[in-house]
Amino acid sequence: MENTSVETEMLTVRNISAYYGNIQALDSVSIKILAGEIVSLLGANGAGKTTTLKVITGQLKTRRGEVRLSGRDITGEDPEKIANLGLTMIPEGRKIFPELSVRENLKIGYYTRRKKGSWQDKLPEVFEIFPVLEDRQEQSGGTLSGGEQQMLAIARGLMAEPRIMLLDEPSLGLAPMIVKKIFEIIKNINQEGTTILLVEQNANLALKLADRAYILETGRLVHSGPARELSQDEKVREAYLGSR
Amino acid sequence: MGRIIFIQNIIGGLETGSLYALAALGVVLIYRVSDVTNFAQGEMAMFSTFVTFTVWTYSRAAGYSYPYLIAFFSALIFSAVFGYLIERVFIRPTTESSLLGKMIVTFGLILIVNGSASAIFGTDSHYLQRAVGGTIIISNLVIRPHSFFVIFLALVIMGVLFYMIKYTMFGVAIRATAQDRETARLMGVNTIKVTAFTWIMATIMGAMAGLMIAPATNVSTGMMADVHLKSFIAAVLGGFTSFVGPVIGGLIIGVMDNLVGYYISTNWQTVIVYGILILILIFKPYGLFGTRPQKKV
Repeated sequence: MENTSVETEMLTVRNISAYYGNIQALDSVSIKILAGEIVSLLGANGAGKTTTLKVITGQLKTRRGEVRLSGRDITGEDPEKIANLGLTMIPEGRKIFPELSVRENLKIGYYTRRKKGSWQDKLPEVFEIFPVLEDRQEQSGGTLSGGEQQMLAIARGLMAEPRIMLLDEPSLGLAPMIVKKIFEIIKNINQEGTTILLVEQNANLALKLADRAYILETGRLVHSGPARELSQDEKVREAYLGSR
Repeated sequence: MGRIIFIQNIIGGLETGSLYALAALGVVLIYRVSDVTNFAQGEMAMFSTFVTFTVWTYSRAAGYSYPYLIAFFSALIFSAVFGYLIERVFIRPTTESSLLGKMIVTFGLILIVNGSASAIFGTDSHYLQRAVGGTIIISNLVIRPHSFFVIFLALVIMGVLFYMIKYTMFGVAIRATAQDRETARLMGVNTIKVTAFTWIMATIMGAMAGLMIAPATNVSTGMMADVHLKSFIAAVLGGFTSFVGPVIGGLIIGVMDNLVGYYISTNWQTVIVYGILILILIFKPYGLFGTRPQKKV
């Protein structure tokens, strides 16, 4: 039996600062995510949410601070190397490969595991979660609707059997019904054992789903805590939940 | 008689056309994966052919049993290493440059490779044997087995490449890199390795084109001018965004060149052929098989 009372750190971000040219986008941001948690990173446009993710995935270099994945220092590593360590990013705007078929998009999702097994064996599992993708297997990714593309992006990420999945604004531009469905799927993925870091502008939804949350404002962390407490906090409600 | 000449023209056209196709495919492969238009492809092929020729000459002088076979395999090995080195030394450091900058790098490569070839191998023109000698005569139809060897070789190389790109995991990684390099990296694809691979593959294809055209042009520093130019035209005609297009484009140009040259006029051959090509491009601006590029916004 695993001792669940021991908290194992999945991802630790300590004091990272990032710049675009000379403009500082992040100022000493620290985030901790425990194995099995859903943590949400909230904030308005330009607060630094995507930038934080990009530092974690290695797409952007930090000038200070460090990023650790299961205790291992991954600061400044290349994105492909970090992906190979079991961290999968579902980028903002889905970023599926439009000219690859749905099947091929899923195949490339399995790239980091290609030496450990067969991607075809993994497909049924993903199709069970996203039946719509099974019907559209041979279609090119670019012909899918926005919601389907988001599902494909998450499915592609699942193919890698990640330990931790980072999602950047999965609700963006989608109809409320679809968003609800996608959030349910994220919850299920988490219950199957994948740790989740969810970046959202839709704070209402994200706080309902997450265990804990961090709130960014112009590159700085301004609030953090259990999601339930934050959703009842007066200041947070006023600024992010649109109620007074 | 008329039919025999027609068949001969078609076979000859397919022979040179498949070399245009090979070279064009090399250019397109690199272009799609790394946005670099390799204007030095022809010169690199020329250099590889010179190396092959040198190996062939030495092997013959040394009295080895199969000098051409030795030369052929050294061409494969040398061009693979050569392609890797060019990518590593000249291309990789300029990954972040503008498209124009990258283009200028390959223009510089033309001068570097051509200058080195003249300095190392001299500016003389040399005879290189055909892969398969002799001729076959079937009731007035004169066929060189070499023609079939060339077509066969091109088909094999292209077949292997197409199979790989279409069906293997690495092939999907190549196409993913071509569409969106940053996201491909997020999938765990080592895009540097993918880029290096395309340069190796393209350089091998160029070297094979050089080796196969050499019996007709002789080995000299200017030997690839025609093949190189026509391979670019083949790529444009077939479409830079497609892998199949450049192959069809190459074959069309090879066959059209021959037919127009024989049946209409050798003097007007070039004008007529490229006049037709321009007409095609007016109606199909992205090439016969190309689509409006939708990557890299």
